[in-house]
Amino acid sequence: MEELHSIMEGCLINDHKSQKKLYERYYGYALKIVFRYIYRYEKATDAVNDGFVKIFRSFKKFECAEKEHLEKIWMGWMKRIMINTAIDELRRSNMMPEIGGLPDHIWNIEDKSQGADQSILYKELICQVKKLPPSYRVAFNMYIIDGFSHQEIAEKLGISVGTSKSNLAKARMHLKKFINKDIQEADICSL
Amino acid sequence: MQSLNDDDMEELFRRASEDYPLNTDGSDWNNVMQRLHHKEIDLPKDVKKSNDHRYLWLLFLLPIGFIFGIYFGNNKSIPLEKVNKGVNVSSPIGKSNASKARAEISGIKTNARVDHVTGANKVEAKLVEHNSVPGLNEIKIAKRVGNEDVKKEATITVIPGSEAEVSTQDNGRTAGLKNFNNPRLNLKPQKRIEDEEHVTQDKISSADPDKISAGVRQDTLAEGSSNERNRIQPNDSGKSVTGKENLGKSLPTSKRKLYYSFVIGPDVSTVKLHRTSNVGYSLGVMGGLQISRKVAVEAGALWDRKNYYARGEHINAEKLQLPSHSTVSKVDGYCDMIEIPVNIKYTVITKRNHSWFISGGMSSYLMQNENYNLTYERYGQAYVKDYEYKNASKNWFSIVNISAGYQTRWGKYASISVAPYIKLPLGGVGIGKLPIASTGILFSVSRSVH
Repeated sequence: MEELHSIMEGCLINDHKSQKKLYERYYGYALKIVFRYIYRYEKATDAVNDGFVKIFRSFKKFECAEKEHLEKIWMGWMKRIMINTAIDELRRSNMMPEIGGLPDHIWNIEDKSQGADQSILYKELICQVKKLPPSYRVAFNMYIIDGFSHQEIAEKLGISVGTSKSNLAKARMHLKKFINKDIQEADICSL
Repeated sequence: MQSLNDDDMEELFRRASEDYPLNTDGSDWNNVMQRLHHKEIDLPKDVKKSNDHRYLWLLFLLPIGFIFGIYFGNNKSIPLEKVNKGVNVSSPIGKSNASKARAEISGIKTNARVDHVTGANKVEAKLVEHNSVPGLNEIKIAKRVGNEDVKKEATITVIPGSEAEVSTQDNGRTAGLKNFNNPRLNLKPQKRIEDEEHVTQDKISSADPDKISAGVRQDTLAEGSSNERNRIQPNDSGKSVTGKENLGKSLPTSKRKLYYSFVIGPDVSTVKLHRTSNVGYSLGVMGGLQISRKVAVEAGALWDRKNYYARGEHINAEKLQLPSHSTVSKVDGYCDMIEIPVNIKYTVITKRNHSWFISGGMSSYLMQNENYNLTYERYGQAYVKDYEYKNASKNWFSIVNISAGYQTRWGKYASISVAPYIKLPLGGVGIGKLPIASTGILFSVSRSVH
């Protein structure tokens, strides 16, 4: 915790080393957030770098009254900025659906471990979220995973609350079908 | 196993979002640092996109250019104004023998100078400038005997900038400048003046080189002409006297020419320079108006068949009415359309029977039929299906045309031309908003309208 505090103090005075430490420490966390929104891996990494540039430029706006929860608050603040950056990127491309598969090198699945099956499952689930049309994908990510309200989603995307709810319902329906189909196949295989 | 309920499903996705196995080794601190400390500014892409349309506004200057070309171009015939202007031939009291008389045409547009040489008894009238009438100008000279109205007149046709010497014979059918200090001038024309005949370069002799005053009018010439009789205004003081003059007939002008053409040619279309599909065609009619020797305006209607291939990322699937959750992989298609081009044609090199030209303008595409063979994915499955859309879209002035060609005369009134072209999209066209670029060659047979 003290280390994070000193890093942040360095970032406040635009110290390069502190900024680099902070960037490298939380890059993975930020990328996992953004990659849920943006289909392409390369675009997601660009968006993460955009997000960190925004963070360092507006670092003075970050305030934390409770120092014992510094990391939690900081991660929450960073998460919001990264989500906003990802949504900006999607809006620039007019929420156009992307096509094509994802290359294997972007995944980091351990071959032989107890958690390999779970990793594969989680990977499949996230891939299904990524296959949703962008508007459904954003609604699902923002509401279900990142905890935004429909009102907040509507304001960020410039849509109505009704549209946000509708997009979420359609996303849920699609993902549910996939999961139920997956479960049925698992049942069949286990017979 | 029972299916998951909503809450369980959502919890599963939340856990997946935290622990899914993503490769996060690709951090690029240098990139971030460069942007932070060099303070590069990233323009949002929608701003850049808006700049792409700014040139479209320049095309609105095209009709303004037409209007200026029509109304203010050199080839427009401007009828000569009948302005009462007097040409004053006056001479200051010279101190030297080579005094000069100056003739002025009062009014705005014309000016004349009269020189005379002492001893030679000649008065030369020179039309120095005439602004409104290119080509030949006319100065008409009236003869006055004493204070009586002139009865005989001569018209001199003068090329601007040249000198015209005017003189007439006093044979009852001619006229000339009169030196009022000497009542009669002995005038010797180079040729006889018939009724309303124009005289060029007749010489006027003046008895008094020091003091010449005469009014020169630009009136009709012949004896007995009724409309515009001349009056020489006497002036013994040597002051310039302004008479009245009328300008002569209008000058010949180049005729603006209408023509029409039948055009046909092959067409190859592509989307974002991906592989081309089958060769299409264009055929139709064009009409043109030759507004100057080198410039023509053309418009017409062409029936186009364009074949193309596109990757799914370039097609806008919004209006394609595909099943939900579909993503397009590729498109093979063709479209039939009415193309309405509006072009300006400029002739670069003109020879006797042939010419080289360039042409540029814009086209509008009115889609009649669009046929897409779509390959798309839906829930991990690939599908291939044909979709057809009728009269689905109109894209006004959405294509830029550029061509260059060769034209040669064919018979007396017709010509044939061949012109390779490029057509570049300003945006997406058709129901799928595909940026279709085309190239080809147009062969045309043109005929003027008589």
